[in-house]
Amino acid sequence: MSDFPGTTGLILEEPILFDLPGDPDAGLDPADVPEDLAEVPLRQAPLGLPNVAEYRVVRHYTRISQYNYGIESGLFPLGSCTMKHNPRVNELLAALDGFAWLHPEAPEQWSQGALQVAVELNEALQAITGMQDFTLLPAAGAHGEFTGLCLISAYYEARGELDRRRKILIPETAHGTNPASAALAGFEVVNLPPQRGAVLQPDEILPYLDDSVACLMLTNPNTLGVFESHIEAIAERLHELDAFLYCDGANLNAIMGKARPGDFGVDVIHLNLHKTMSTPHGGGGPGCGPVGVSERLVDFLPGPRPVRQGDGFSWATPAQAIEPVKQFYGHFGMFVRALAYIRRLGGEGLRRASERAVLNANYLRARLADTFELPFDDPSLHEVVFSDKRQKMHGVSALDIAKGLIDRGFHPPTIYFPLVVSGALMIEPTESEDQATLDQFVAAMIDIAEQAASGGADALHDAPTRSFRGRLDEATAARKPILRWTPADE
Amino acid sequence: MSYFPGPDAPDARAMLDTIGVEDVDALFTSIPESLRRQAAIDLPGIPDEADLVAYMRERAERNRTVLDAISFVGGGAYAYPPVAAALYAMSRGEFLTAYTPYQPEIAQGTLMAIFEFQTWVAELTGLDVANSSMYDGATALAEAILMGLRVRRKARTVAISAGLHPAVRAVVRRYLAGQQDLQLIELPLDASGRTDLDALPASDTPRIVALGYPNGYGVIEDISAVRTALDEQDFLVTHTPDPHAWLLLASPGSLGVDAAVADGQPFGVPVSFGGPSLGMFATRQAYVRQMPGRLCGRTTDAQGRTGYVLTLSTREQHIRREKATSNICTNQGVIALVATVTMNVLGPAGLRERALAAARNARRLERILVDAGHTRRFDGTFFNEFVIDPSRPDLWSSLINAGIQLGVPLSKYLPGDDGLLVAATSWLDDSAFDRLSQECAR
Amino acid sequence: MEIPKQLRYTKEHEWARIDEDGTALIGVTEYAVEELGDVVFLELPEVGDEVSQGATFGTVESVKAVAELYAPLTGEVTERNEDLLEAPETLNEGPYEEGWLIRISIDNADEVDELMSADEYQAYLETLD
Repeated sequence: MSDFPGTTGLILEEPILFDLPGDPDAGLDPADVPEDLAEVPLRQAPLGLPNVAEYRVVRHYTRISQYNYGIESGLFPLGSCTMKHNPRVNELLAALDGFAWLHPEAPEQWSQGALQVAVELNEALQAITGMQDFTLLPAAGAHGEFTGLCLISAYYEARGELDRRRKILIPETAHGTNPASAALAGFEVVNLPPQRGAVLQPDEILPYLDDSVACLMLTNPNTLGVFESHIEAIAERLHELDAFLYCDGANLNAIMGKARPGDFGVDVIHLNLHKTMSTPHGGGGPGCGPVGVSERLVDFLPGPRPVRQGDGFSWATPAQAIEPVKQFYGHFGMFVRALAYIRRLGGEGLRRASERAVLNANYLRARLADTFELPFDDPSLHEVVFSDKRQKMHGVSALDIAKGLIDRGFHPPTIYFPLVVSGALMIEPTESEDQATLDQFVAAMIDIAEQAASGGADALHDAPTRSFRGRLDEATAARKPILRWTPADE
Repeated sequence: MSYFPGPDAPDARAMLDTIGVEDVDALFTSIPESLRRQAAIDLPGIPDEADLVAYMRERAERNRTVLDAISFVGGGAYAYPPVAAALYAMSRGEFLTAYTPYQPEIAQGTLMAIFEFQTWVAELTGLDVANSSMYDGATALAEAILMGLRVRRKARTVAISAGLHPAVRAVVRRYLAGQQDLQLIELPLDASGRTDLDALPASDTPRIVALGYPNGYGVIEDISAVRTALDEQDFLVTHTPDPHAWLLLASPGSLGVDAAVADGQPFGVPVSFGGPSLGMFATRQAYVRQMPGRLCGRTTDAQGRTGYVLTLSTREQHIRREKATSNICTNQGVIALVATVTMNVLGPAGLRERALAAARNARRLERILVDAGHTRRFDGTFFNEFVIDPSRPDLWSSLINAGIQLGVPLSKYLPGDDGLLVAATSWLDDSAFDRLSQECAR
Repeated sequence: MEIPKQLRYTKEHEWARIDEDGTALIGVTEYAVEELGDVVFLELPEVGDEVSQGATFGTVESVKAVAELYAPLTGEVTERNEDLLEAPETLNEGPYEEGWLIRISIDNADEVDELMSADEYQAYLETLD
């Protein structure tokens, strides 16, 4: 195992911050409170949390950061998540005083540079996707889905058809956010039955098409990493009924400079700038989920929104704008990072990023196809989905393979998604990797398969053993949830 | 130099040979030819990092920020001094470039920090449990109301106070528009700026009631009086624009609310033109399985050592799909980390000091404005924000010309309203007030 | 896998034990429990609630899955397993004994005939994967 990067340095045990030495809170001294404010009920008891010295707080976060694995630690091949390198210069740019300390309620004349960034990012996204216009308001991909569906809802409301347009069609390969967002937006979710192959065929939606359908939500490239090759025909069927094609753009990283959603009939698309445009995932957020629309929906985009006006920039609200889904206009700090990434690469660089991402995924596919089951043999774009079928025979599941990878120094791929593949291993290397790293990963995967085949199932069930913590007892955590620290319980 | 090895990097030929294709284009033939683009995306590149910095800096410098103007602005975003240690923690790649902690064995840092965040929010609100954060305070309020509708299944009335910031109300309306058979009403304010509950229709079924604490116009609502006036089965939610208020005021939990939310941005997160910020969300233990968003719980590993995991995941979209408690799939991640480290570096004492300074500065601001002949619109007690009705219509714009932003003109949200929503934080010095006095005297 | 002979079964993997007093004890099968994994939470109807054959009456949750519970028979809930709600892991330990869910009065005895016997359920399981 010594050939793999997994190893253990000096990782220090660190208690939760509140168990560190610190002064207990003294509470509020009413004498400090302005007289008029003391007329309302004030906080009585001290807070039950300590005052810890700064040097110790800093040491705490340095220590616990070392329990984490990030893209800057190594390969992070989570399928559908596009864990690519997050350029450091973008952090520096987002932290520039002129951006970080600009108040969202500053007057237009004080916000020209920021408004320009928002407008330029919008225009760049239009160029990349071929969509008519974007709103940058949504805070994340799922928030973008909700926003896009609200736009569709507003369109039908304006036509007096909302009572009838109840249904949203969703294929089985969809992200779970798709049906959840549809339900939140007030639509009825129609889950399409299992389809024949990796891509949706027009005849598979025909039985569901009538004038009660508002839209179909399709991820393209889909979650199997396959291009939905019938998407134009599917869009036509929907448009004949004045219904919409919603595209989940989570996998845009596969097709930049190669194909544009605006050309294949998409009416609404959300992008995930934290995937395709390299803004950091931050251990779970913040995301950034701009929504692009076709001509039919432009008038409904939420306002106020930054626009060009003469030589400058201003805020404007479209005539039929939907109400906003967030108080202020989007995650501006992420706009700066995404625009910086797009500007640095330019159109040519973005195309090269997609090409390398697809090359890397296909290389992994070629190297691993003899060892792992490939449930669909359709051509892969940016990610490849294997299953644990061959290892399952030896008692080793996708979860065990994932944990075995941790011991070999890699973050695991996405497992058990998409749901259409039993025991799925969904691998997306992104463009940020060279052949040497991919070869190490391949060697680790093959090593696990060999361990599984040679009676090593029990050892894999115990993995990981080289990480800071071993497998965690999730069942007890869910049965009797402990969701906060209390002083008595440690 | 590039951010990644290119499709024609030295290793690419061997990789293409392994795959068994001639060139990279052969990997894209699954895209129908009619859709495959030959033309490049028309976007110029800035390949040199220094040039890129210059390009973005040029834009940054054309903004006038709270650092180079005098700002008495809040309205949902409040500039408090940053804490360097918090920005340091965020910059660590182990936090910044990690994914959602779905592999807990190698994400204990993120998970422990979330657990600390949840503890702070629960402690500050006086409620039992908090989630790992929502997009912002407004969406957190909308989600809390939706949670109220789940735990009070028979409720058909949602009453939101007209005292909530207009933009927050708009977000709530948008989130609730998809709910069938729901009556959404707005409760007016009385002369003190507090919510008038007389407008709340009587009902046999539970009602969901939402108001600000303090509200969007700065007035501190009388939450215990509201709780007393409501039926026991009514579900009460409060929204706090600047949670420094929680350091001084009786906690929402102690006043009987069912859920409390806030925008956590004032805890050390730069205002950043409105985002990212973070929504804080807390509620009672009894409702934990109806909560939206991610939750981190404490457990043990195979060797019995303390560890943390994401838990109660069956509430979430990736498992329950259209029946999930929310469609949310992120939390605010490193932004919640910045808030957590800020709270820990300042500690309860430091946070309270900032809250007191904000309250004192707001009163200093009020004195200057009242002495200059302007009127405070509501007589209800405020924390650090209030509405001024200026005695002359050009007050705001003349101050802007002098490099002072005296709050947000309410006309932006309420056409025809001449009021100014003004605020103070701890980050104001004597010279700011002196300048304002001088300008007001002109 | 254990499939007690004296019980009747549904395709959704619930079992019913028909008792002489005209009530039925209801639970889920070992197969269902193994598919779910560690059970962490249950949602059951209150005593006095009506359940009807084929309709959902609650949910059972493991760490990463949620399953709906379908009533094998129509009737009124006369008892529910409070101990199980307190300790959901009991369901993993004994789905046919301490892991029972609810007891109902049987409204329509004819419905019992629509349920599978142990042999039929065994044959049905063999048709799944």
